[in-house]
Amino acid sequence: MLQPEGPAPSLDEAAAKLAEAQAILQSSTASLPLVCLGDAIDLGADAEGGVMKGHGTMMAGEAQLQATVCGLVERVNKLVSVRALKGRYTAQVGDVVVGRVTEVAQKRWKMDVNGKQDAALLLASVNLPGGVQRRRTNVDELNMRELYQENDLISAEVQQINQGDGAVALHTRSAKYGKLQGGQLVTVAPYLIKRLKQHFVALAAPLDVGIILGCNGYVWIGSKDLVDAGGRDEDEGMEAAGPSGQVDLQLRERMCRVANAVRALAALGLPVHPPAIVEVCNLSGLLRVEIKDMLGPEFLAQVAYREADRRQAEGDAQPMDH
Amino acid sequence: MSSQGSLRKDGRTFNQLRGMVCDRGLLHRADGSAKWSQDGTSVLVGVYGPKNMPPKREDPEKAVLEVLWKPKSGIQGPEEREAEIILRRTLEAVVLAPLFPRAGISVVVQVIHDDGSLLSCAINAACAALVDAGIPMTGLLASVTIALAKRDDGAGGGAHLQLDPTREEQDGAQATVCLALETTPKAATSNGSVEGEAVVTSTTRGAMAIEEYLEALDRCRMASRTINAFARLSLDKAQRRLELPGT
Repeated sequence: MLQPEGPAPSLDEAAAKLAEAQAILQSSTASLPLVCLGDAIDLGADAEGGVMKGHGTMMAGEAQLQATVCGLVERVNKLVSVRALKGRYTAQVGDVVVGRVTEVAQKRWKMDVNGKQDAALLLASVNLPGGVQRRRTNVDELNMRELYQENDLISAEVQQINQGDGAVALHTRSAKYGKLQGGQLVTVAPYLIKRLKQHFVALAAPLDVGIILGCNGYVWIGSKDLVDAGGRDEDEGMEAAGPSGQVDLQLRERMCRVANAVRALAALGLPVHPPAIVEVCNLSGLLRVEIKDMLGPEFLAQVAYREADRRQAEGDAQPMDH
Repeated sequence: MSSQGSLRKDGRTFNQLRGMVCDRGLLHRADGSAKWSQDGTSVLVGVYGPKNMPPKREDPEKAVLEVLWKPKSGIQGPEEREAEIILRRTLEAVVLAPLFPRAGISVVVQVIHDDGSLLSCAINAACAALVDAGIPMTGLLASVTIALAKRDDGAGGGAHLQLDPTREEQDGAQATVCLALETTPKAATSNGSVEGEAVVTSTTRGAMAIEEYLEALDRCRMASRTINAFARLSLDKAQRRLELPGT
């Protein structure tokens, strides 16, 4: 199915091929319990035992649940919920996120994390450069911009979610969190990012870049030392954490290749996780696809075929159990 | 009346809707978007949110809905303002706003072309865009406009009710009724009992008799089922296009 050589097919052919590959991928979703907004949820035999309504559902009548969003029906014992496929990021405590500072407010930074409201990063929940203890003075609050300014990109963790209004509080109380510099941000739909054991990933050579997979769909692609086990150097502090000044051309190219791999996966609606990213990068290397051509229909079709093949192999080995 | 009298100028029967087209996810930056066309009438809607609202405008109890109506050309006039308010109230009836306290949802309506039944088209488009944005709602909306042709040029016996009128029919009409109905699953399962569709919005223009209004309501109910079936079909298609990450 791989065609590294031979004459390049025309754009129409490539588009048709892509459509075909996507159709194959789609066929694997046919058996999923998807519901549309307003549909009554089929409760099956469990209806007699009583059900609990979870997210994305509401009661319609006495023993009938109705979906309030389009998505996938999930059940945990009696709890029935519908997970929306689209929509903004819903925070969970402990998530790694990448956010952008929108406002420097009283004792806090307001951050855009693609959520339903801006998240707050309190001055009390950041580590100061050099690990020094913060003195709670007015001067300190006035100097907040020296730490993070408007439009800075920051990696952080969700510390707390207010039960009442769903306000999200972040913290950067670890050496690995902080300002991001010298790389690029790729935004994808939040549902494409699964929760992993490790969201700071250093991709091995030849890619040799570091990525931060924010659970909110913001993916940071930067230098490897940002992500490496040691994290940010305590003495250097956060200011110098990113590669200061110039990023050399080869690193840039590697970063762009990874970034386009993420975009390609997102364009096809495939989950974005480190093995998939590496596979797409390897495939692009194998087919000698240039970075700029990685988002073209020809390459996307190849990626889609790859995924379809993988699922086929997986499906033969074990029946689908979504 | 001659036999030709049973048809309208564009060849439709009095009880026939125009062909509908719905495209979703056209706008890259919006959280959800939809373009809804009923032949000549076409509306593009973008939904942004739930998102952060400036503290002045936020509500601690629920999400705030705001509707922006952009006319095909020129700036907003009083008619557009009115449409904004009607659309906002209609959507507020179905969106589960209390789930998102202190947040805001922006609905931006861009009129592409107006060939009659514009408000209905916008309501249908807005509903599709909200679904595309993954915003929870109690049910799907379906909106229909009916024009009452002047008695002297219409056939008797209620035949002068024109479903989904074109601009020409609408301008020449004695009165128009625009209804938005919400379909609940009860209605979908109980073989289309009339109680199933709840009237969310009713705006009328011009004068008509009560019987005529009730007749129009009945026809809108029937038409709303067609619209709903279409919307559901297009939703299901769009949904299967999204790929699922394993759980």
